[in-house]
Amino acid sequence: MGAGSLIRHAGAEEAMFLRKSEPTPPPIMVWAWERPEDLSFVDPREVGVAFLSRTIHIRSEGVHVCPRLQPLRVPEGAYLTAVVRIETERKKPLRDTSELRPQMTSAIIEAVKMRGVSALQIDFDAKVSERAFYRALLQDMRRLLPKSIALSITALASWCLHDDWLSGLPVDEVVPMLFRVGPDRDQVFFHLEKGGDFAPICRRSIGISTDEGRPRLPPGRRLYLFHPGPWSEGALRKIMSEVRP
Amino acid sequence: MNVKKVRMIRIIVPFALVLSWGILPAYSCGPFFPTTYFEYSLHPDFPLETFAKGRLGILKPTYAASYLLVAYRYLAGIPLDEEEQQAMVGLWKGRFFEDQRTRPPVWEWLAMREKVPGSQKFQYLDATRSEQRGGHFLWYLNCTDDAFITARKTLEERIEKFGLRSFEVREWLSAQDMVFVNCPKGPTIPPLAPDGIHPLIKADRAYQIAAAHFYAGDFDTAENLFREIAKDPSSPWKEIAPYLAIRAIVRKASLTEGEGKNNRTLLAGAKAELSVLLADKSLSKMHPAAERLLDLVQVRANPEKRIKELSVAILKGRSGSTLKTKVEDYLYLSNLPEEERPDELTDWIRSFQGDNLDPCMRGWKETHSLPWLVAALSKMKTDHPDLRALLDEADKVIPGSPAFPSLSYYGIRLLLDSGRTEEALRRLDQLLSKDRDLLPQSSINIFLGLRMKLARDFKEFLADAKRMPAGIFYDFGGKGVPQEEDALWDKEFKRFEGLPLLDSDSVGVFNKEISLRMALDAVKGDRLPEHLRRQVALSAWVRAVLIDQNEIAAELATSLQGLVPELKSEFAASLSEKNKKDRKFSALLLILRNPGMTPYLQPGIGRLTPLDRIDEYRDNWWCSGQEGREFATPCPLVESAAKSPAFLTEDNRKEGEQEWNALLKIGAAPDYLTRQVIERFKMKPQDPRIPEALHFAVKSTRYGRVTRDTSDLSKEAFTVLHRRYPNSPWTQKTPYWF
Repeated sequence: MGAGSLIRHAGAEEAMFLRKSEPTPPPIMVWAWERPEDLSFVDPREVGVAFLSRTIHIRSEGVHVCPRLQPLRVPEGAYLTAVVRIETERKKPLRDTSELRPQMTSAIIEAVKMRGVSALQIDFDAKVSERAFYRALLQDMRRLLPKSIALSITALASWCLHDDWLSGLPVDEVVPMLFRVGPDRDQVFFHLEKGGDFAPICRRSIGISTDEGRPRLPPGRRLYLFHPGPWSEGALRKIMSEVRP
Repeated sequence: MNVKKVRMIRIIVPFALVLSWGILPAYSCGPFFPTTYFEYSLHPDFPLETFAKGRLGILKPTYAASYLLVAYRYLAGIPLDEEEQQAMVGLWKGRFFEDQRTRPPVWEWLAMREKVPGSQKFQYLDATRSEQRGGHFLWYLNCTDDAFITARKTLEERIEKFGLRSFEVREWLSAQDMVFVNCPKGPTIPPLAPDGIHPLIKADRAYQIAAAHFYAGDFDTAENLFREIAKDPSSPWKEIAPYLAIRAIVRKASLTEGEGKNNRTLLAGAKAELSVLLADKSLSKMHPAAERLLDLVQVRANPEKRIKELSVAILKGRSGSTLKTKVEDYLYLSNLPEEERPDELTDWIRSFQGDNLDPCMRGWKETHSLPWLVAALSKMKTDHPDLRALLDEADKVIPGSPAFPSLSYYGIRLLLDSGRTEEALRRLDQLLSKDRDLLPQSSINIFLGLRMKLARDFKEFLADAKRMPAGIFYDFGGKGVPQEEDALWDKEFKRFEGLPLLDSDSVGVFNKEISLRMALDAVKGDRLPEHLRRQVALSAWVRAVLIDQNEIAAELATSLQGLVPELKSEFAASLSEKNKKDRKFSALLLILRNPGMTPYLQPGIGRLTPLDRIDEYRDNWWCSGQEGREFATPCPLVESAAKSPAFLTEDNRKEGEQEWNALLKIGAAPDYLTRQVIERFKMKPQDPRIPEALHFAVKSTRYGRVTRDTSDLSKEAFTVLHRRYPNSPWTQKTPYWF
């Protein structure tokens, strides 16, 4: 497959995502979740890999880190983003203690110490009551991360529409997720289908899944692709043929 | 199988076995809603202890292998003893439930070391190491919980012996910190102990240096150093050192990819050394760990052989607490590429989980055993020549047998498929009366589901539709498992405990095939408890209003005054309207004020938000059965399949179908209700209720299930409200359209 068309797909906002002289993320990023993934078949000029590096559980008694324990194969030179998933206790409110954020930042930053990692993506579901914590955490992360490492976050699509609490965050990229959207799905999809768009901070990338329908996608976005099982060449080829402009 | 895939599995297995036990359950993304489970598909009922004791209920091919393995033992007449039951329950619970009571050992270690004055503060210690060879990345848990537990215990002992502020403790801690630096990266090797230091700290240092080499991946040096320590009679580490020397060999072999011969030689050496260690009574303290390591070596050295050995060991019984590790190894190895004819246990599990009758019949014909009878009957077809023989064999099994519920279920299913409904009904009635106490709740519910299809009249249908849930909880993982073991009935759902609810099969029939006239009978009759009559009455009333079945709507509204006392006056007001159109508008306003009103029944506990409150997750009013567009969220109640019960006459069905089709034309609530309100405004703009109705109509376009048209309708209602009723308080409450 040729690189040209997909690079065009990534659009003109490229320069905003990464700082000059840093590796340029390709127009397509595939999420490699906690399962053995052999992505040695991808063309690194077109496709990068955002691999789940660790899941951090915030519990009342402290931070519990579950590191990735499954192998990953990528082609030499592939653009790599380390993804850190954050889980909070669902039935207990998150308490932002004096120790919690330093523990979190220390645990997160380990993820980008691996050779070849160019970006960090934080994946989280923030309840309204947790938003102040996440804003502070992201500010800490930006301060602590090397300048060469881009900071990306995933976002519920609704955060990028009528619930814009992300404005002003020091992140390089916000990826609105157009799969497993939940109750706001129809509103988000009809909005995009009618030619609507996300808030400016969310206009660089979009996350979609191979197993769900999607509305008309706004042009010029980097696409993050999720696949519910291990990736195969066929699965990637299929979705890429669907999303090519 | 794809060659690349096979290779990947072989690489993964050792890592999985050595390193990845104890991974926490993976959760999907939120939001999450409480789920009512009437039966489970991946596992048996909770508490799992009951299943471990042999009360198997109906075995499903969708059950995970760990349950089928236990089921096989009981079916084959090899029950689990008490220790084995505990071992299996421990395995299941370990997979399901996080231990939230204890802090991970790494944090305990960090907290302990901070007590030493002057120690550097660590916010986090990464125990995982990654290896990169070209584009191949491997991660493994380099420093396990045991390492941090041992370090903590040793520090406590050294503090007790030498004092918190002693030179010895500072020296010890400084070296130990260096050891753990190697967990994620290295090498960082502590220096030799200073001259003249206490011999115990000197011995500790030798151990710390060996451990640092181990974690840094220099396994040859680590092995040699551990062997030296084993020879030092004064070292407190002399007993564990021989074991750790072997572990260094095994770790080296585990991380050696593509060096098959070398790898096998290393493992053979490790196996021989472990045998020697296990024969040495002076090292008996290390025997349990050595046995575990030997298991691992055998798995790694010859997985195909090992799975057979494990299968035999599991089926032999009397494994005690070691059954857990045997089963864990077995389950990991069962992911290996399938052999043409695996061992008996694996063969049975795979055959039962599969769709194919042939291997099940072959197993049955070869063994004539109970496990294979269950497997064969579960796949049997009504036109198969062996059907009769199999059913005859199943009939010989007595109610107390662990196979009885499964054989009954699969047998009755075949009777139904063969059209032998009378016989099926007789057997179901016996099961649900005489044998009911032998069955777990989910099995009772499954039999009630079969019974409901055969109901001879509406009363029987209602009796079979009422079922006790097996559990109600937030299913964060989507696998029918509560977050915590004791959360099977979450506090907020305790009020439902002991109350029968409706499962999706009866709800499907109610929504699609039961006419309003029959629903009214159910509301007025005594077959349903009050909370279910309330649900049926509310949904039927909304439906009757929407499709203009005015007489039935009025009768239902009369019943609802008693069943929904909080809306008594509003139902009364609606009934008091003389004019048909006024009465309908009054009813529509009542529906608009109560976002919980819908023409569909919901299964289980349904919508928990109070009737008059907006549900934050958009479960308000109803969705559209027409909105079949490519990406619109399916309307689950509209799409649910109805399983037509036998008692419905052609006329019943026709009436239900007509009403259903009329309802489908209504479309999604926000669009329908907004159009109706705008229509009313055009017809009777002086009606004082119009501003309120317009306000709620706009609200419905924000919080209801939207379509492509919703936004335009929202704007229209908003514009009418603001232009025609600028001074109404309802206008002030409506600052936006959506």
